[in-house]
Amino acid sequence: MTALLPFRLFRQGLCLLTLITCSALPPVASAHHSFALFDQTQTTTIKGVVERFAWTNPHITIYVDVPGPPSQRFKIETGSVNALQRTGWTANSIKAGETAEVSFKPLKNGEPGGLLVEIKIGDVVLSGGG
Amino acid sequence: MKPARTTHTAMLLLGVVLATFAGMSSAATASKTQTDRHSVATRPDISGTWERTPDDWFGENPDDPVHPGGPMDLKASYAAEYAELKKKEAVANAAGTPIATTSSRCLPEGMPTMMAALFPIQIIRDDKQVIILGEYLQQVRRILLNQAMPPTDELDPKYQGHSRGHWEGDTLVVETQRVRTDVRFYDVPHGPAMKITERIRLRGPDHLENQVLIEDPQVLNTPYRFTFEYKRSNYAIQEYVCENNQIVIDSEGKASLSLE
Repeated sequence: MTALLPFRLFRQGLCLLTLITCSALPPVASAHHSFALFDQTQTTTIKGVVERFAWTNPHITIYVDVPGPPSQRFKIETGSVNALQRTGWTANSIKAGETAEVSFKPLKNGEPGGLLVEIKIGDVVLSGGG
Repeated sequence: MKPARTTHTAMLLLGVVLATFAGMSSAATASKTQTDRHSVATRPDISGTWERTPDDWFGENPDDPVHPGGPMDLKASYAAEYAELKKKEAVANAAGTPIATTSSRCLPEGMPTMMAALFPIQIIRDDKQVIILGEYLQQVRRILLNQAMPPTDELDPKYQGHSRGHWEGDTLVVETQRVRTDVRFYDVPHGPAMKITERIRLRGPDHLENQVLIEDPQVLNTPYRFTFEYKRSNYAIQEYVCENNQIVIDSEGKASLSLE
């Protein structure tokens, strides 16, 4: 049970920002690994192009290429398919090639990746969580 | 006339006896219908999809979840082992390399964690069995009704153990044994003789209660008791295939995010 990530308050906070519906957030949780991978005290924002959107469990992952120099590929993780589809996400919510602004809680080890706070693509904002 | 009267009396007595038997038989039939263990229609309808309630059941910190029955009364060596593990976890968490768990490897939660319903659960039942499906990791639990638990040495260890159940009035009583000893409940190990007893009943049409008792002579000084409560849900449970495509686990069992 150590790898359970309900993060409900965090998600509810994020919902205030999102443009998709968050009014009926179910009391579901993510799992798989600890939040301790990420530095919850920091928020980083990047702008880039979505290289891949992995609609997978236990976590959905968004790969974002950020132009340099030096150019970098960020791996941004968020909740499970099952939890996020209950908040309005779909397998088509994000597409490769789209330009996105992404904010996230960075990996503690300094590598290019983190836990999604929110992703903006045009006028659409999707919140992480679940 | 005496013999005739005697015959008449005997006939009357026979009639009374027969009528009595007939009544008893009829009463027995009615009683059997009401208490028939094999008639699913006579039992409270616990089938459906359920989610834990209240919503804040998990607590605030995902890395330190609330134990449902308070601290467990662990035997000294296990208490020391647990304290040591918590220290080790804290150091690993601070370093950003949390210790991998079975769920990091996409393995089932096992019993009794599955019944904590981190994700929704669905109960399906018929006269012979109660099936519980957990959305998380597509876990399945089979409770066979009105069958004796086989001798322990004939049971292979399983993630969900082996469950046998029967109805006691409005309550489904389920005993589970032989849960694999690598299954953990809130990071606490258990011995091969752990026995879980659940008393599951509807507290209202849309409110399910599961009173759980864990007895484990190897690990616990005293039995551990808690109650899981669930609310009925109209959510349709979805596929959950765990691909484990994001985590790398090193030789020390510490997890990091794969950048592949």
